[in-house]
Amino acid sequence: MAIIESVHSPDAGSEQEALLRLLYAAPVGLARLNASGDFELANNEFARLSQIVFDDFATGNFFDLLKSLSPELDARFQGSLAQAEQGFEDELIPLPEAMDGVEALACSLLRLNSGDFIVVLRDATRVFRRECELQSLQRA
Amino acid sequence: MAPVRKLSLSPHSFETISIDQLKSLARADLDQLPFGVVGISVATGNVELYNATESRMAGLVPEQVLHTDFFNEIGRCMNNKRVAGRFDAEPELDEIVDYVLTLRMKLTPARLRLLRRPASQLKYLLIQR
Repeated sequence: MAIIESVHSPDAGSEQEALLRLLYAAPVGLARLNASGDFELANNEFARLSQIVFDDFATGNFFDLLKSLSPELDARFQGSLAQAEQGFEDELIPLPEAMDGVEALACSLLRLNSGDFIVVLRDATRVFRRECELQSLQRA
Repeated sequence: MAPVRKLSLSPHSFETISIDQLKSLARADLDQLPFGVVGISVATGNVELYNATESRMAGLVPEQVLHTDFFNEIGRCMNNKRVAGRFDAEPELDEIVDYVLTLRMKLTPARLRLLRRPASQLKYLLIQR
């Protein structure tokens, strides 16, 4: 059976289709940006989360959106770019108010050698709530 | 002289077509509409109607889509308060929403018309790209 499968391996088209389906179904938001921060590719979860959080998602520049949501993180990001660092990982961004049940996002941004970026965005509400609980316990 | 090709223009527009008109259209006419039509079961959330225009524009064959949970499997990017949540919260709904869809990982601006009324077994999502 394994031999038959290897002989009749899926063609490139169906492999690409399977890859697309995986990206569509991924439970985290994934996007690829060009060096200026404009969106080149994004999956379903990225579009879903972004349209909960950002009023002007259609403008299409992630750095502008990041700045509007977290000026602190944007400033840190710009600093890391100036020092030729690769980006940041799993930064927690609490939202000013809960939106559609989302209270915080976790954002990772990785600069590729080409100058493009990969962004990972996920709903970090549970992590954020745990952190809040821990902080209130420590204060008590 | 080249033969004159008769254009089959649909009399129904994205902005004005009603649920009654959607229900009464023959399958071939539904497929000819210049915008996507997705009929979603109010009871199950599954896709029960998927026209050819939407199939072509989304790059999905109806067999992949029909009877699947639309907002969890196919239109996951619309599974938030702006679209799926509106359908859940409002038994009577007719609203056009500007939205950004993902089409083969490309962000694609679209207009969505959300149509629902209390007696209807289907809620309708019209998609104009």
